[in-house]
Amino acid sequence: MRLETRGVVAGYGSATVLRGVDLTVGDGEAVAVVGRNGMGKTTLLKTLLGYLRPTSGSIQLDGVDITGSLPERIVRHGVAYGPQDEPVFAHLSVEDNLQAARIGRIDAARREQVLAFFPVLGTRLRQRAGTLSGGEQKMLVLARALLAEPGLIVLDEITAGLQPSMVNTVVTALNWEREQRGTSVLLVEQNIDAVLGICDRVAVMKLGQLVAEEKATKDARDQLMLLLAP
Amino acid sequence: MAHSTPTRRTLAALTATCTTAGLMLSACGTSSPEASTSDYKVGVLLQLSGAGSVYADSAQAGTKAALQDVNSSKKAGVRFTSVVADAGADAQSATTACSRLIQQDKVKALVVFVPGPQLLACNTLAKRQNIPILSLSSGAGNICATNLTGFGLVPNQQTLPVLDDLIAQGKKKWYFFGADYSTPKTTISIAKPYLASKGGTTVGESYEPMGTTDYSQDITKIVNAHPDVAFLNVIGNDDVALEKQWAADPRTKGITRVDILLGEGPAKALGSAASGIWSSNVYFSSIPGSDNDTFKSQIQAAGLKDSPDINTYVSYLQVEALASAVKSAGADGPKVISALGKTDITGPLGSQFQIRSGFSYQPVYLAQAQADGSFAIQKKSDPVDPKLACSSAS
Amino acid sequence: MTLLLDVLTSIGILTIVVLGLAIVLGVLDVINLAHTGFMGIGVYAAVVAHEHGWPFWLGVVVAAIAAAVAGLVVEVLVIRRLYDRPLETILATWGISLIIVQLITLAFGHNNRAVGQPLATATSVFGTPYSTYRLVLVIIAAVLVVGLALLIRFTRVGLTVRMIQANQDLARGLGIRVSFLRASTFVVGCALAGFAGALLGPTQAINPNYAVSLVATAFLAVLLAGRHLSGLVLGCVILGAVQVLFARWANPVYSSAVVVGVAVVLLRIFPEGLTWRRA
Repeated sequence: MRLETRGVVAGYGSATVLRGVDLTVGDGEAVAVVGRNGMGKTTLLKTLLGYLRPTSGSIQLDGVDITGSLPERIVRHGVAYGPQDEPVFAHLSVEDNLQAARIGRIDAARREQVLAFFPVLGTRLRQRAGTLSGGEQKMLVLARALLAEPGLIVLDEITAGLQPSMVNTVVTALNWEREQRGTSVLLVEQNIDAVLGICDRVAVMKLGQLVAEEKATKDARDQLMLLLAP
Repeated sequence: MAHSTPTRRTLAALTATCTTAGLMLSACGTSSPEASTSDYKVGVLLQLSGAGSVYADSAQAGTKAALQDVNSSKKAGVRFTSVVADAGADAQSATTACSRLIQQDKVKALVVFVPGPQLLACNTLAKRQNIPILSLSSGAGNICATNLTGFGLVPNQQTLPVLDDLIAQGKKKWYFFGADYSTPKTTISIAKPYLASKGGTTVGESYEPMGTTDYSQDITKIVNAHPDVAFLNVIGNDDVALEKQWAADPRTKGITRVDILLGEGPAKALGSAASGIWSSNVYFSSIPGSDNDTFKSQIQAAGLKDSPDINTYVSYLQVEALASAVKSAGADGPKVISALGKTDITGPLGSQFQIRSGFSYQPVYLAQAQADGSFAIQKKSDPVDPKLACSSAS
Repeated sequence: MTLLLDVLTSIGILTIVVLGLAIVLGVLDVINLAHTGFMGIGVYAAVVAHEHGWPFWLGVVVAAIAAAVAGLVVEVLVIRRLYDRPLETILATWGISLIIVQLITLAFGHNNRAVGQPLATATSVFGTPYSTYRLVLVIIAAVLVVGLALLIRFTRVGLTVRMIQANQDLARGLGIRVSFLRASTFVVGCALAGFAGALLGPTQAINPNYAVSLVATAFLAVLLAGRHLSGLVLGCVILGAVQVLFARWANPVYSSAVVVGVAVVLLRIFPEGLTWRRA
């Protein structure tokens, strides 16, 4: 699935956060948006997903204009979204959270494949999601996104606070998904190693604009670390 | 999730809702057109909203028919016009409606169809200006005032004949059940000693607050006391609910019901659930005779779809009584008041009757509800002198 | 035995009245003061059906449909604009209830109406004869509660509802059409109100102010319930039982006051209702 934004301006009330964002995620491509805190990364994702209505600019999914659409309409085009805040239904069971991916219509074989990446979830299906550790909740978010069988996965800081073994799981699972289904991926990330492990391209965000773009290669690592340094 | 102009949209919606509701409610206060200064303006106060509004249609039809009759037969000497006001569901709104009738509409007399508390509130205003009040209720004989004439029966007038009759049938064990309200309490306090004096016994007595919806445990209590007669003294909607639940309860078979507060309309709506209920009143639509037939067609011509009932009858009587008082005394308030106490009035049933101590004195009919909910007249008793809880003048 | 049946039927009747109210509050956070209005629409639809000679139970179905249609109109015209603003919805639904009462009065007049007396027979429960209709009400209440519980627990619709209840924004991000679901929930709540209205018609007086006395306890039960069905049932059981038992063994005049008292005390102990959540 191809995502394309042109000159997106958005914000909260009178405070403009995004100041003309041009971003493209090609079909099957994986792109990361990196940048320091408060630069508008999360705002960008919320705008793409329809939680915020852009004041100008356009957003297209596979050439279909979705600017100003409601989140429920946008995700029905085949987008799976893992937000940073309150990413799971804390009061519902792990099982219900998984079922939420396709509202009870999950393919059994796929479920087995996906849960193979996250054995811990398989043992806690009846537990309330709110009682999982932070890392386990992130796994749940990722599992849910994969179970949705999306054309585009959008994840906000999925590796934040994860121990290295879990970061590896994220990388493995997303790469598996890309190989298997050619799913496009858009990440907002702080973890450069994870980004390099998954993505083809990295865009740097600063004060509401994408200011630089790099191929995600090992050579780019030092330069990116420098850009992100406080 | 963006609420562009939340307060404005809310306000718009609220204003729309409330204005519509307000318009609909205020539309009730209507005045008859083409009034001239020489006319005698009658204020009609009744409950058009709230629980008491069940009686509004039948009462209004009686007033309307009587006004037509009075004007077409020139019974008052002057032309009667009317203004209707909604007394609402409490004393506060009754006061507002009443003061509007007196001060703004300048009515010369009030025909009133409200329960005791609202009557009292309105009478406080009317008494000061010597405006006659002709009322259905008398707060169970507890409200007396020089300017007030009661046309409904007071508890002893309505209760004693039915007690006499059922005791004569050998039904001596009575259970008294009532709403926790002044009228039932007064009624039962009069009925109990009378029952004892006639050799009967009270096997139980209990009350439920107004607004009760489930009477199952009360019915159980009554059934367990094994009475011959259940004297059920509950008001309005509650009464209908009680009678429905009583009829649906298999354990109540064999217990005779007395319900003097059950109107003909509600009884008709109860249908078979009302079957067997004894009641007593000055009017039932099933009273035989050509006078009643004439009255009924007159009421139907006034636009009432159902048969007239006690409220229709009394409201008719009020206007007719007022007309004959005005005819003999003129429009002056105090004179009309004293004339009301002296005039012999011819009711719609042809019989002459009087006002004694400010209350009507007329024959009481005993009736029993049939399988279709209509009342069949069983007996016509002689009038009973009103026994009042208050001194007649205050 | 009779006492037990009295308690059971009181609980059953309360549950029937409360369900629609609870669904609307639990899912939409809307306190629907027009609940009695929709019960009124239901019972008058049943009255019309009865007057056309239709069987009572068909009338009950007609009642639910009529109330659902009215609910849809109200949702689209008013409620839809007021979600997430509890105070405004209280005012608006109160206004709607006034309008409904007035419309019913205009259409049907003030007089009492009838819906017929279905199942006016007695059934013996362990040797105690008891009103069949009241027993059927208990069964209907139980079926409704169990059906609803199964629906919420085991179906896709139920999952959707639980998602919305748990986190509306996240639910939207997973493709739940919130506005559609809200409208459907409101309509279902109204249909249940109409259904309840028609069902209780044979036990209550039917006039434009229908059911006003019935819902006082219902609102308490809903407040007590929290946002779960189990809490709702518990609330109905407690309030229904207190009402009947106090009326039986003490002065019934005070039983309503005692019910309010019990509710207040329980709410003081469990401010979020009987089924509080572990955070």
